[in-house]
Amino acid sequence: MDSTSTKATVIFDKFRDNHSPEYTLEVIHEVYFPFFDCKGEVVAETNLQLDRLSKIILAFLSPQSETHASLCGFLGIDEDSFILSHLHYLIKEGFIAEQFAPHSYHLTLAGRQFLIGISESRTMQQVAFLFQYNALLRTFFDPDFPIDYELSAAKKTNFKGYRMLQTNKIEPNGHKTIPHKQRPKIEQEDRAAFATWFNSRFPNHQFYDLDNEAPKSHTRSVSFVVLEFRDENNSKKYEVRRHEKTVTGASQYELEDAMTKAFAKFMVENPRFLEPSQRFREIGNTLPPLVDVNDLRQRFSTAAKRENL
Amino acid sequence: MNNYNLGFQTLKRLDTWSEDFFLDLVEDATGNMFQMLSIRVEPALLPLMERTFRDEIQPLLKRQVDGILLPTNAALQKEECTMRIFYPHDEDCTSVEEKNVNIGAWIPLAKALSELKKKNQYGFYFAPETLEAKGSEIRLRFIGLLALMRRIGICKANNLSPDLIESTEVARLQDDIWAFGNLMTKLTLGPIPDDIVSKACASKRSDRYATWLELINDLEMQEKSTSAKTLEPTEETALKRMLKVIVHPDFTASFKPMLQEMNSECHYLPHPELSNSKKQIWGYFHTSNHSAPAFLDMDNNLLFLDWKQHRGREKQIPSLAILLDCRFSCSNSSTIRLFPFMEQMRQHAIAKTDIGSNSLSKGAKDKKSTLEKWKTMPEKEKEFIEEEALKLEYVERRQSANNKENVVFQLAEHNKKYPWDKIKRLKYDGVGLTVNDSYLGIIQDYHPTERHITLRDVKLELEEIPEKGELIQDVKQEVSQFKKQVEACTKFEKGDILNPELTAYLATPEMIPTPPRLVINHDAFEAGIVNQRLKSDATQLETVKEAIHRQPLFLVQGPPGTGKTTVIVEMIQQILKRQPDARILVTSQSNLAVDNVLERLPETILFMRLAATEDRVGEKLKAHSYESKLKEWVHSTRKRSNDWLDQALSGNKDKMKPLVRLYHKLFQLQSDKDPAASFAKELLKPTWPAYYRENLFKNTGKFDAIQRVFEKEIGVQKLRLLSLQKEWESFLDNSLGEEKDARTSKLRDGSEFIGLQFAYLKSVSVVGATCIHIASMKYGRVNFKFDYVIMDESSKASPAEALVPINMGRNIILIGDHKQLPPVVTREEAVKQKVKDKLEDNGLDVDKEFGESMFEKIIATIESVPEQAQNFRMLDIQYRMPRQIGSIISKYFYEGKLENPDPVRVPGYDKSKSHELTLAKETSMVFLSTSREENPFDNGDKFARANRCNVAKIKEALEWLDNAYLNNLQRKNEKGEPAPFTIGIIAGYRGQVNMLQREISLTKYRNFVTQDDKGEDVSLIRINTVDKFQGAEEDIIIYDVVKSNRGSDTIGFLSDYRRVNVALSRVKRLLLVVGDSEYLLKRATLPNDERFPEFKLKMIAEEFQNQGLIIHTLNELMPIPSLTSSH
Repeated sequence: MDSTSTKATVIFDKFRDNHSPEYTLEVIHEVYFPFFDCKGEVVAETNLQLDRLSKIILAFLSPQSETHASLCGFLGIDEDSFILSHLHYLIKEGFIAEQFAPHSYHLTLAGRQFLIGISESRTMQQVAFLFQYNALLRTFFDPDFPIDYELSAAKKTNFKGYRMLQTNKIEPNGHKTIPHKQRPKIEQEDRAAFATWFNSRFPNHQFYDLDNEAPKSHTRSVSFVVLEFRDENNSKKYEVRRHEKTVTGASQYELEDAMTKAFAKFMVENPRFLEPSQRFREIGNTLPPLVDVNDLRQRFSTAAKRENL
Repeated sequence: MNNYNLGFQTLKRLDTWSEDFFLDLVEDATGNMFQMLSIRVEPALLPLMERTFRDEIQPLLKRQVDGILLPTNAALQKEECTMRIFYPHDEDCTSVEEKNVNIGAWIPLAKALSELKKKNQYGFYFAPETLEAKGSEIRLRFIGLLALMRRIGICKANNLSPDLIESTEVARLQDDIWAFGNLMTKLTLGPIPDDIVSKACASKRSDRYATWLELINDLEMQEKSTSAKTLEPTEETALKRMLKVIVHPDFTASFKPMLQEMNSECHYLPHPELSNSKKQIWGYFHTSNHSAPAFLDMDNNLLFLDWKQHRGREKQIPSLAILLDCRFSCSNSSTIRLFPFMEQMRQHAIAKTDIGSNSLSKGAKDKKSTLEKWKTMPEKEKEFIEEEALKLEYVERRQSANNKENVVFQLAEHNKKYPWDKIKRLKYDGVGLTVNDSYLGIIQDYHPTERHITLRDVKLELEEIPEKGELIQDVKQEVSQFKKQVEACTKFEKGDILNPELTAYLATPEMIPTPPRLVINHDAFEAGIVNQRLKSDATQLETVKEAIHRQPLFLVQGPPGTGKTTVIVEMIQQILKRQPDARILVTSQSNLAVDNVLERLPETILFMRLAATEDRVGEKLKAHSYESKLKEWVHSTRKRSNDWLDQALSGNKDKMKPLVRLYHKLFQLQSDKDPAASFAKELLKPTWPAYYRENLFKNTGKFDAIQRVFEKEIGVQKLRLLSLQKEWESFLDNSLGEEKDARTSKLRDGSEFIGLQFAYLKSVSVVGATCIHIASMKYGRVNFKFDYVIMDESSKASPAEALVPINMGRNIILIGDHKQLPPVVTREEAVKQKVKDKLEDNGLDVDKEFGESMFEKIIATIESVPEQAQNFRMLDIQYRMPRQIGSIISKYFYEGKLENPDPVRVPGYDKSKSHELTLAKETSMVFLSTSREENPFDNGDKFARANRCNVAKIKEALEWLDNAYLNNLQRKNEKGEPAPFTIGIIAGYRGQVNMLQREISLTKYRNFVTQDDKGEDVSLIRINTVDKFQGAEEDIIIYDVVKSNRGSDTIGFLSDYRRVNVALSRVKRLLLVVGDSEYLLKRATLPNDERFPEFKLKMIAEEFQNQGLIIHTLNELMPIPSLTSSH
């Protein structure tokens, strides 16, 4: 028996009675579920950090008021140099006050506080960030954490992460691929969820707005094992379980509850998805499923007969 | 009426806040009206005004933010302590005080302010006089001026947040929110809910709305509840928006039955080109049985139907149409106060384009298809390169036994053969390979028999490389230029460019409005011209004047030798004279054309030449490269800073100077293991006075003690300055370092931090770069914004290539000549086929469709719409060629419009164009025919066409010239500088150029050989193709026709007169055409190509014949004794 069949045997043995006696495990599929790797830009509020140039200018002005000419002299720049845009920023932030006769600057209280790192000043910043998106559940996704959040702390800790594969580079090997229909778009109603998610990822930033509602996205896939159970009326039930191919250390084929529910819904909308001849936009659509359990049964019974003999 | 030096005429005073702060209505030279805000300050406040101008107003120029009136132009006049800011004038706008503003109207404004806040822009003056209304929209104007207005006392206290009244406190976002809430309370029709007012206008900043978004949410909730109350919904439509449908009173009765149909299902196909905002949308409505043009006003929940033009059922509802999930009721238009407004909107939209709505939709369609076409070629070129890239499937990878940094890939066993020759070439060229888009390394070795390939210094760990996979040739570099072009087209299409107005001008020039007449004082302009030579050429002068006044697009056709570069240099000087802080990009598709302009710029203009590598830049410009200029600036800044500090620390006391220097030394020694010991060692050097080691630093064993001596002698404060200056020096030095270091040297530029090196680059007045290089990733963070983009040789750039720099410009000046070489269209048949497939046109003539530049397309439009000619000038006096040749070029290529210089205005011209030989016949051009030679025919190879007979004839000619110009190397110009004559040999075919280069030993002709600085021979003779000669000129040109056939046949690509024009017009003194005259005159025919109906080369050959200028041996021209005897 080849390695695929061995795996299938393990799965079959393990799960064949999961829904008995009404349902029997009929087919074990390998299905690639749709995910996205996204890159977006968020406008977020954050504390102003003391940068090198601000430090130099503020420190120069800290003991006493200085004229514009001496500040420029100290820096070695022209009195209308492009460097002075930075001075404008410090003035607008209220760190420096400007006098005009003669033209001079002095540090404000806020400026002193900023210089010693106790400023409360906030600024808007564009933050480039990467995130993943589960296209079936239509939720943000962190490959380092299990999709089902109602798991024990220990289970969460032991989880080692999903591996997302570049969809267009997946070799055809008999699996099915759920097509990536809609690219992630963060709609108005998702904002609150996104903001919470963003703030948890960037604790020093406060989400303000998205720079673009449709971030750049690249299709990714995660392979799961889908168990297909049927009753005598040919009504079907599915279970989605982790696959060691794309979930590190998933040799126990743990159940994915949320994905199971979402997949069931998907099957209602796409009842012919798992049929071998059904042409979805997946790779390898004409190849057979991972293993047909009937075929497995046949082999088992032959082996059993042989043993009896 | 005052005459302002920017060329604006004041029409009337619109508003006066004080005698130093007022708003005028002004008109520019083309008749466009603007509102000009003039602000004058006392001299002491000039720094504040300068800062406001540079950091607040300039970044706003020509930007577009809905809800905010942004300036189109601004000027600072330091001598007068005056700033003038120009805003677009819209006659439909009214003052807000006279209006009763709906609460909903504040929402777009708040959203606009929220957008600005995202870029850290806040601190505005909210007052009735800084608002204007257009229809139901309100707009904030004069943003960026609050600090200045507060300082000069323009702001009224009752419009300012309490924190800013009689205080020097800087304005915060919460001050804006207070002022916004305050204004909303004053101007809104009906009450604003108390909770919104109290939160916006809370006395403490911290109690007010924290962000605009919070305020927007509350306002939207309020608006929804107000609309819901007025709708009186039924149960099933409770959640639906109600739209009132308005039709003309004449059609109300016939329309009413339609309502039921609309309420069952109604779709709307929006027309974005005709819609001025997301809430006022022109389009088509569709029901199951009807469709008609419509206008949807979401602000007022109105749907206006042009029922007169209604059509029956469409075959199908367009796929882009959206479902209007609304409840419809009918209303007679006479009861709707917005009817005139909408009609006005419609008229305005139509008038704006001067054509009807059908044409408008055609325009939008044309624009889309034009851009689709422009984008297709680079897209397919890129695709082709990627497909052609080497791909090798491997089945195993392992570390090399000899070197662990190298990885050996075992290739899969295939039936097909591996392209080992290609692999060999890639190894030789040092091309890298990738796997899964990750770069691996270059080829170290390969073994065809064992089928493995070794990559060296691989950038990935072995584990990161898939066990099996595909190695792909790294083509990032090759495809990058095409990628940039595709990106440029996409941005242009979306209008995501610096000046969106340009999209119509460039993609659909036939749709642009007729430009108005330019009214400008010509005498005053002429008096301010820098290059006095322009005064003798009216067209050059006019061209400069028009180009800098006509915005946003101007075209200049510059036939050969008409002084394009002179005109461009003058344009740059005039722009900077009017607008000293203007940023200008000089660009072209070739490096040479960029260099030509920059080399002639005066040193007083700060310019920089950007190029991928230094070898692409002319020798004279190397000192102006990005790297050199930045280095120079950093060094001079450091030096000035050091000098200042030296002076500040030691005053006039010389004795302090060595001590300061010694302190610098101590600073450097700080990082040593034992700095005190190193310092003691340093003191032993004779550089330092003995007094230091014997007295001052005696017994200072520890570092702290040394430090204390310095503190005592120099002073703590001064030492602090020294260490601060060290930090500044390090900041400057880091900007020159590797990317990682440079990232630490950042400064604030508007709303974001950028690297010092980029800030410096942005501050340069003139930047020169090729169309593609300006979009290099190297400057990815610069976000270039140019006031002017001047593109030379724009007729040679493909539209997609041209769009790359155009997207970065506010105003564009295109200079080119569509009668010279066009853009290069791909030579790959596969790419052409891909283009045909994409455009679904298999009969497409790719060369014709893609061989047209944007410049030519616009010129063609201008030629068909004479009124638009005002956006175009042709330079019509040539200064390069002798009159005889100039006249022929003009007659055959420029319909006689190109003139020779007036002998009165340019005395001595003919002498300056003389070849200085006494020929048997007075002429500057000769056809040296090969017809009587034994075998004058070319080799017939269409891939490498060459003609050995012509090569021999050209060698003869070179020998003849070498003998004729015996004193060539001693020749001097009017200024007494060495000016030997040069020779250019131009052949139309690459095969012939190769043969000429192979068979002619250039250094053999000693009178055309000089020496360079190293004493090495440099020939004054160049051989190349026509394409390589465009933009160049030589004293003597030998044009090799190459093509000749025994029988009658088609002339091939020499039918393209543009190539002939370029070849013949490179000459400054003497033109020799070499070829089979009989073939040209009798046997050659034109191919069947409607683009070139006239056989210009033949016509020119006939001209030579008619003038008796066809010769067969050079002796016929002028027997040279030495040559005669040798023959």
